[in-house]
Order: sequence, then structure tokens, then C-alpha cells
Amino acid sequence: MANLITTYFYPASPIISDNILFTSGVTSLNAMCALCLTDPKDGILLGQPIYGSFDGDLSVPSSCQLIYTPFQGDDPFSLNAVVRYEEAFLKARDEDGVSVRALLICNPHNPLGRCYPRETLVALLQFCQKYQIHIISDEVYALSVYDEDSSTDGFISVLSIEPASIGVDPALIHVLYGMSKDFAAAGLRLGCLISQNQRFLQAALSTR
Amino acid sequence: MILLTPHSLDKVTILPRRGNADKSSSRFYWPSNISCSIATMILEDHYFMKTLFQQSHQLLRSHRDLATQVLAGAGIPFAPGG
Repeated sequence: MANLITTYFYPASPIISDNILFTSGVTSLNAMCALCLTDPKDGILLGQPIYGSFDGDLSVPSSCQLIYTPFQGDDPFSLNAVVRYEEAFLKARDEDGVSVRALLICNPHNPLGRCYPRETLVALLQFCQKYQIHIISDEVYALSVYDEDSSTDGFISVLSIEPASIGVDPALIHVLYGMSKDFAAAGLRLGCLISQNQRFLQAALSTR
Repeated sequence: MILLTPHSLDKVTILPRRGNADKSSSRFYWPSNISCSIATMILEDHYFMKTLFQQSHQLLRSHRDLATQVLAGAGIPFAPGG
């Protein structure tokens, strides 16, 4: 798996087996992330629309809250979307008293089927750094993208962005991947958490 | 269980009841050995993966082209690229 990530995700830092934790599918990973990163009533920030089963995957096992971000007509993949995420974060924190612990994105997006441009990913990473929240990038559709198209850059993993160069702590960045989509092998029930944060990986391992 | 606090992950909180609950669910999170073996065979076959992804990307492109052609013909806007 480390070879696949290295070949197709172009990670800025080497990914080795120590950076990868396998579980029984990405659904399990969602639950493990929520259990490890939140206390009950803490928040996880998401865009809207987004994969509907995140609600069950995240909030049921951990009792966290999902904070959905309305984009008010802005393109959810644009830099303006990052402003909307920040508005939703501040509203949750300052008006509703919710401690938001992580931002969860789907890239490529489910259900919108689009990939995040590099500049938006950089802005999202910097947003997470600013408020010291984790970014969980669900990249389970990473290789289910269109053949060459000059109108976009295609799929860009957050792993391919060098965090130090944009002032972001690599310990805040986590990627979810699995065999179910790109390999059409959902029956394998195999997902993996990719992170440079060994303490987070150990915490996730303790819940496995 | 050990639960890391969310921000810098520099503190550790012990939640006994949560730990017990997690122990009860942990059996569902382990990957099966046969799944790992099958996945390893797939992932070590670089030629298979290369051709699989090439074919997948081509099919997705042709299906998207068909869909966008129909949408454009019907005057329904859609996001460019993908």
C-alpha cells in the first residue's frame, strides 16, 4: 500500500508502512477518527452536501456533532469555500459553544464528483493550522478519476503538499483510503489510515 | 482506552466506560487475514494496477463525455472538468 500511495499520490514526505494503519474498511476508519479526536458533543466540520453516511459513521459511535457548512452559492471547491468553512467554525465555537476538532473533506468529492484544486487544499490546510484542528481527507476515490483533461489538474492528494512550506503541522493531516472504490473490491472490507502522527495512529490502533 | 485530546494530541485522557464500549466494538475494526492476503497480491501486481487504472480512467472519461453531451444538449449546466 505504501508503494501505491507513493506512486499515485505523490506524497511530499515518504510514506512507509509505519504511516499506515489497516482496518476493516473506511467506515471503520471514520468511527475510529471520531473516537480518537473528539469527546462527546465536540464537533467535526464538513461541507454540504457530503456523503450522507458520515452522520452514522462519525456521530453514532462517538456522540460527536457534525457541523455542516452551507456555501451560500459559492463554489464548494473554491477559495471562497474556505471562508464559509471558517464562518461555520466560528459560529459553532462562539455562538453554539461547540469545540470543533476536525475538518473532514472528500477528495475526490462524494457526491459531487469533483477534485479540490491545490490552492483550495493549501487554504484548507492553513485554516486547520490556524485553529489547530485536524484535517481528515477521505481520498477513497483518489484513482477513480477521468482520463486526461486539460481543464483541471485532476486529483491532488493533501499528502502531496509539503506542510512545512505552508506553515502547517504535519501531525494534523490524515488521509483515508481503501480498496472498495478504485479496485471495485468493497467486499474485501479493507481501509487504511495514512498519517505522520504516530500518537494518533497508536490511538486509532487501540480502538481497532 | 487511551483517548488523545484533539488539539495538539499532547494530553492523554482515560475514559473507562468509553474504553469498555470500544473494546466491545473493536472486533469489527480488524481487517481479515484473507482480505489482507488478497489485497497484497493485487497491490504487488503493478502491471495489473496500471492497466486497471488506465481502463478505469478511459471508461470514466467516455461516460462523462456522453453525460455532458446530453446535459449540454438539454441546456442543463454542469461543472467543467472533474
